[in-house]
Amino acid sequence: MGCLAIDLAEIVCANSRYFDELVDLIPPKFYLPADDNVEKQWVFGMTKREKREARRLTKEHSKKARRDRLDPEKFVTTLQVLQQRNEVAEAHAEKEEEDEEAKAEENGKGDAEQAPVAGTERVKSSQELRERLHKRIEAIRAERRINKARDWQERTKDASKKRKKSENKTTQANKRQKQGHKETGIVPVSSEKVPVASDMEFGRVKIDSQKRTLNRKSKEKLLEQATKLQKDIQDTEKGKDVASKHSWDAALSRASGQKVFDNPKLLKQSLKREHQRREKSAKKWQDRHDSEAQRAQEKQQTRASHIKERIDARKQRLIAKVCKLVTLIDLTLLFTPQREKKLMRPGFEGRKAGFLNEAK
Amino acid sequence: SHETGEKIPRSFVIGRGKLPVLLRNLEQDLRKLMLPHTALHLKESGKNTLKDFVHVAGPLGVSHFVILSNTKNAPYMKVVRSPHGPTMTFKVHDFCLAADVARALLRYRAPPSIFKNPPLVVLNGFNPAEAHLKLVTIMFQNIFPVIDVKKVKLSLCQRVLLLNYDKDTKVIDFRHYAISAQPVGVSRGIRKLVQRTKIPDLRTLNDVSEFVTKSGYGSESEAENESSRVTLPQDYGRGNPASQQSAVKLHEIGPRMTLQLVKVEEGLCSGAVMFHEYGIEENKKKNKKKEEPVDDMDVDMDGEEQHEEEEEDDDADYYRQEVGEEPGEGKRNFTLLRQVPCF
Repeated sequence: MGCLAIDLAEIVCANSRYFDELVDLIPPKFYLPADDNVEKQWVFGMTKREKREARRLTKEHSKKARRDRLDPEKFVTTLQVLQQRNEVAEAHAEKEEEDEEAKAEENGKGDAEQAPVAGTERVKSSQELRERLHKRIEAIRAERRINKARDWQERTKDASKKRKKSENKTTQANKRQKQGHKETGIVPVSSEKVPVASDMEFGRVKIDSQKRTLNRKSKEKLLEQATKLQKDIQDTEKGKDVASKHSWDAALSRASGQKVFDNPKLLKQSLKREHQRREKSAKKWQDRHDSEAQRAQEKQQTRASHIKERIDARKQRLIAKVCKLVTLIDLTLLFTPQREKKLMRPGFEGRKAGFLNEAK
Repeated sequence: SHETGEKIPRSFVIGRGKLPVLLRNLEQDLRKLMLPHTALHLKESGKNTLKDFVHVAGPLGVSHFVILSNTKNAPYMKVVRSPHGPTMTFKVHDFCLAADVARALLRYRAPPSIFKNPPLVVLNGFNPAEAHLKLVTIMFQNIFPVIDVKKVKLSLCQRVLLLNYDKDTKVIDFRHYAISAQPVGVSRGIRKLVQRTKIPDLRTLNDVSEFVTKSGYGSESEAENESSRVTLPQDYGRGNPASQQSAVKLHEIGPRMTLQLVKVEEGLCSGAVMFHEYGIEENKKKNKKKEEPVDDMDVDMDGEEQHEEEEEDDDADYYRQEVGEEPGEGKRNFTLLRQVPCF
């Protein structure tokens, strides 16, 4: 009997080992149920930002998981994963038991003072519950408001304010550039700060779109300014300073692509050109206007002539019709004896029967 | 005008006068440097004057000229902003062609794809307090298009132009590099496998693991300064994904020059001289540079010919200082020079 028992244990061990090896052959993805720690997220209730966040997290999680899977140091067999999960489940179960015990103890203490307080206990607890519920609701509402405010910010006025602020920063940057300070380099997208020697400068970088051509002065004003500048330069006292300062400023702004209008001759030329262009276009307009009037007149004339022709044609047609009709009428009906008598009376000058001398 | 909404600056690189072969090669190298916004195959004949180029530049949208010329003393390079802009004249102390660099390096790589995008520009040592240096920085910063930080693709920034100013010798070093990035923290074999398209040759190995373990963890130069390591914000070519550490390496391509700023003029190769290296006070008046057989401008500012006779003495001094000889002595007669017709 004893050796049978020993054999049994051995057999059981061997079987268990065999099953373990079999289980190890199956990858944990297929053998074990899906991890319940990853809660099913209710996608429909999430805002856009939350969805984005969730997507990003899952992506990162999957990348990390893939890396862990392929990392030889982190290799775990199916059995080990199973063990780990069991341990975690046990720990959870223990914790829950402890909590229950603690609660039971509290309740137990309450129970000791039982009878008169029982009703108030229950009432208190229901009051507590209600209070807790209210607090919870308030917290959720506050969170929602914050989220909503943030989303709204991202879309509307505050966003434009932010844009204006950043515009101000860039204009300040431009001012600084003019005063000869360091210009911002190509900003890396990450928050990492690359240490840069104070003397280094980089290519031009566009940070945010600025307003272009704030106030273009009219050419006349520019001409005035240019002539005034020339006069100041001619003025021998401070002329040199003015000239040098202006030439440096002009050179710097021309080098950075801005146009400087300081030559009165060229300004006059351009004014003249513009004037001529305006005159030419005014003349063209006038010609067009006149020719239009003329054309309208001609059209009216042709129209009138066509109408007249139509009327005449109609009249002709009518006359032709009448002639045709007349040929069809029996004219003997016109010549009745009474009528003949009337027409043949002597002395009547309308119709003659012929001369008296005429041989019949 | 493109996505930044600003105009792309374009340039012409031209030579004035008869240039020796080396300078013609330098001109070609400079054209390659300024690609893609320059005329690579610009044909210039001896009869073209600067005025022709200026007239053509307007409709084509060309904003800068880089003009090379040669004298007995040294070659000179002018960087000009086109219609009325300032002119900076640099004296080229030494230069080195791209072909020389190629011969000197063991592995010279300048694939044509890197010339499809404009280079970055880095200036060092230009003290912005000095007006002429500030002008130099602004000029070089504006020769190349603006970079929109939000929309730029890092993988398109493949070249860089470095300008270093030494305030003791007042000399500017001009260098041109190609940028490449290598992933950091992987063994050499894996790095090469990831970065190159070639399939490695495993003929000599007994086992695949040898491929990974045999080549060490990088060459001697790998253990170099930490400052070249960056975390990339975007993918940069093969094998350098975003948010991973990579080492940035520079390979020299293109010409090398040592320049010295000699003169800054107000107009396009004309106008008042705002700055002169040799600081001669008299040269603040409108002055033509007599050494160079350059046709300066039929478009003169206010009739410069009137001033010529007055400035003879100054010119003689200037010539003496610049060339180191008496005006009449050299092969070329000084007085004749002013009568030489334009090129």
